[in-house]
Amino acid sequence: MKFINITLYNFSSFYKQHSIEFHTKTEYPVSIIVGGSGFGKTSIFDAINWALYGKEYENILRIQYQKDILDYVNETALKEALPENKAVEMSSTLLFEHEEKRYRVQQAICVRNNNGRLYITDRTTNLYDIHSNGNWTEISFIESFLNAILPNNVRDYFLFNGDRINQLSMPGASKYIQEGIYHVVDLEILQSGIDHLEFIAKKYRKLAKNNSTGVVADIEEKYSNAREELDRLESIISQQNDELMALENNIEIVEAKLREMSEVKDLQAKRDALKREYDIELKNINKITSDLRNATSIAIMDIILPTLLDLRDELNNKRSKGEIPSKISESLLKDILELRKCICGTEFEEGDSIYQELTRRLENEVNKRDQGNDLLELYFELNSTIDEIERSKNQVINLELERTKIDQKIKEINRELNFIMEKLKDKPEEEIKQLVNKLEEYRQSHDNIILDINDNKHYKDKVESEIRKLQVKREEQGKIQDNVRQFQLRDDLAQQSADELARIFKQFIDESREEIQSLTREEFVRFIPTVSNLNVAISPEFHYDVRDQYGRPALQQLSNGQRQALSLAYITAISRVSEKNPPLVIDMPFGRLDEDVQENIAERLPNLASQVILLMLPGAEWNDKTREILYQKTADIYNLDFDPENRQSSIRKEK
Amino acid sequence: MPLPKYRTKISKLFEHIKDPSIREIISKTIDIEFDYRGSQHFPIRKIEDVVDAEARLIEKKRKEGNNEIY
Repeated sequence: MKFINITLYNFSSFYKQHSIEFHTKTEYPVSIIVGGSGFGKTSIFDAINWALYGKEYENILRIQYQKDILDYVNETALKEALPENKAVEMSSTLLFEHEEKRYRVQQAICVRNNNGRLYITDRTTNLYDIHSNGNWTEISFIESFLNAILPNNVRDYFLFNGDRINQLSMPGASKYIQEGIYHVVDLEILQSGIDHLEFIAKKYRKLAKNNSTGVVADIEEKYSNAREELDRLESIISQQNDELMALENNIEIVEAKLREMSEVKDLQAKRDALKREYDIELKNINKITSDLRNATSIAIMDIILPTLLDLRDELNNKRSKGEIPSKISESLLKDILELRKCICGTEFEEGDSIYQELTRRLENEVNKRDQGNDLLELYFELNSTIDEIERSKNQVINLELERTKIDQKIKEINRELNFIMEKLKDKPEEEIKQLVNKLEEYRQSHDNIILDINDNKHYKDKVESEIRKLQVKREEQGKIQDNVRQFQLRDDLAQQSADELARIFKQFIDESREEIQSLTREEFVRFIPTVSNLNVAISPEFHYDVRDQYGRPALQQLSNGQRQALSLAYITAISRVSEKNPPLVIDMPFGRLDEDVQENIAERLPNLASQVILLMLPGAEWNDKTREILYQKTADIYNLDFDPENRQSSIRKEK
Repeated sequence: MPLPKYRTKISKLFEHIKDPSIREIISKTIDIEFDYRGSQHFPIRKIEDVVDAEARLIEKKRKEGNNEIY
């Protein structure tokens, strides 16, 4: 499929008729439409979608974007029609090629204004097969024809915007991944076949039961009940599997939120460590203050230190003069008197003048002993007090230094704490606790559901075994009643076909998943060659499963941009597997893409499909860099202009 | 128009069905499903007719004494 041109008539800000031709070829597969915000890019994107999917796209606009198709009718055209209450026509016409044939599809509505309220007076949808000679044939079944070429349910994988890329890169995207695989390889057709065959089997089973009698009726009753039980179990297991998938999505979402809050967690851990440090330093400073108080009470005596030193000097003086008796002088006098010989060598006798003088001195010494002892003690106390005052003075100095240091540290801790608390203000702790609790709750439910599913599967095996036994009996007894036998036969054929188709369905979904997985991996590495050491898979539960070379989960290591590249790789894989090869129309492809992957993706875009139409914002998306990358592969460049006075857009061809 | 690769793959999976009646029913059912995909009024009667036709064939063979298939 290839788009040739799109023609808009009174569509959105495009007053009257405007056309865009797409001249893409194999060597120039890209067409670029550049326009600022509100200049009409998305209107062109919507016009292409509306032309192809009509009312179905109107529903999407209503549900996803809260827009009504009437919102698109051009304002100027409406104003002009108002005085005469004329109808305004709005249309979108797409000319495209498919398998070497040309088709023209058009959606058109006529709108009237009734007291400020718009309403549709006429609506037409046409699809023509345009022959090479210029003649045309109208195709009646437009919906089924277009659905066969490009089904609406896979539209999202060919005509999408930057939001879609982002959506698929978000946690919880497994539902969309499953849907993509399901739709793109027509698994829905198989599922619908299973449902219809089961419906027919049930119908015949009921007829067999209602027409049987006696023993046959008894077996039919049991068989019918067993089948109903099996249906019930299958439905429960299916619901539980859905619930399981929803829980897995929720777990992914909560884990991603917590990941986002890892910064908060780091801050909290830092805050707690700082608080602990603060408490320790506070204890230290309290002890130092107490020591300081004690030391200061002694050191304060420093003011009397000069007096004490004077006193000590005085005492020292006295001692040196011998005024402070000592035990030494007393014992020396005793020894001299006993030897009868002076230190100078003079001998004396008891009773002579020297002896008397020495005896008198000894008596004096003995008399002065008590008084001398008091003075001696005072002398020692003075010394010790002076020492203690000196020591305390030094201790006070050291403690003061220590206290200043700790004070400084506490101030730093406080400053850091305040900074962290300020940062944490925006991210309430409560929310993290709630998320952690929620995660725990989800994980618990997840484990419980797995147990329930296993129980139900076990029970289902039993019921299936019972059904097999009843089938044998049914066949034997059915021979008794011919009319019942024919219903049994049709029931069996339809049921066996449904069961066989279900088996094929399962096998096919697994094969398709593996194929898409392999293509996703291939494209992802092309987008970001640096991740070639990572192994990308789509798990049986349809989650992206990214692992490093050691087999460890690595999805969390991917940057936001790398995740977006992964989702675009997946979209591309879906497109390739579908073999529908439609044009890839991307509205604002880089709008939500991180800068780190923009260049790689821009380089790959021309190779993603045989025709790539990009609607881009000037500057952020269409800039020197992207122009340099894409220009060589581009067939057309259109610029959108917008006249704010008349609120009208126009299209200018640049290349 | 050639069948897409996945459509051929589905058809190949049908080839592995041993019972020819079941294979025929599934194959025709899928054709009907493709023809009427997205249709608001699906003609389930057409699938019912496929099942019925296979059942009649079996019944006929049974009557003729050829009970190999069923």
